[in-house]
Amino acid sequence: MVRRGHGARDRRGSALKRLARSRERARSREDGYAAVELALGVGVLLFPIAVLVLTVPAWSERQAAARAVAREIARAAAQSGVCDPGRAARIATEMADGLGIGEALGGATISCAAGRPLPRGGEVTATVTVRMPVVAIPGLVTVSAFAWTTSHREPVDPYGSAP
Amino acid sequence: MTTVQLVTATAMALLVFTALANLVVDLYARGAVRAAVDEGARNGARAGGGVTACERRASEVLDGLVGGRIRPRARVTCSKVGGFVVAHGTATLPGWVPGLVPTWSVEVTARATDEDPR
Repeated sequence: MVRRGHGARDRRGSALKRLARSRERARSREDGYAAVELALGVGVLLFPIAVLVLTVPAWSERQAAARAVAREIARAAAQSGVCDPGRAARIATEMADGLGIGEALGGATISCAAGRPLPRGGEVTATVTVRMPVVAIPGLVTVSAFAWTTSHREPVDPYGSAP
Repeated sequence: MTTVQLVTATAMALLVFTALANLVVDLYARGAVRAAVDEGARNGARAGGGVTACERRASEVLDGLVGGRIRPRARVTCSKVGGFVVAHGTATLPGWVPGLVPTWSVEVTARATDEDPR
């Protein structure tokens, strides 16, 4: 009876050891998976979302700057009372540079006959186009893909004495 | 070994996330300075406005949009140049993780046609 009891314990012990060894082998095959999963998570999820988070504000930033440029060149033309597309383009370039979107400025025009006085009580419309980025990471990379255009209409003083 | 890898990877991910959050806040601050110079120039350009009105309005806009450590580091100065009121804004935006995220200096200029060019 004593011998049989010892034999059963030995068999149970060796079975437990085998189980422990097989578990150890299985665990060693999984070494490093956490790092791989994290790297994939960062590359596939975090990085694209980060790029999106950084790019979307650049859109509204450029739109706001383009509106400011259009407003200002229309105001400058209405204030002077003379249609001067060259001056409008110069102001647009200087403003875009000052607001930090100089490289994104696609064009700036005013709708009037060049060199002619603006009609009193009329309107002058400025149109500004900027290139919008699909990827914008400040200081690293900016990839422009599509254009966005805005207009501003400014009334001309009906009682103005200039020009 | 797996634990060490997990801790290292998590620390790296947190650092990247912090740098990203820092950049987003800096972009917001740059937008606030841009709004301030734009408002300031427009306010200074109207008849009876001038440099003082420009700087006062720009300061009000900055007070409303940014606070904390950024507000004392952002300022707007105005001047009249060639028939324009020009507002020049600067801000020094400190990095949250010294050594990893550098300090970012922002400069923005806006102008508006002066309605009272005297």
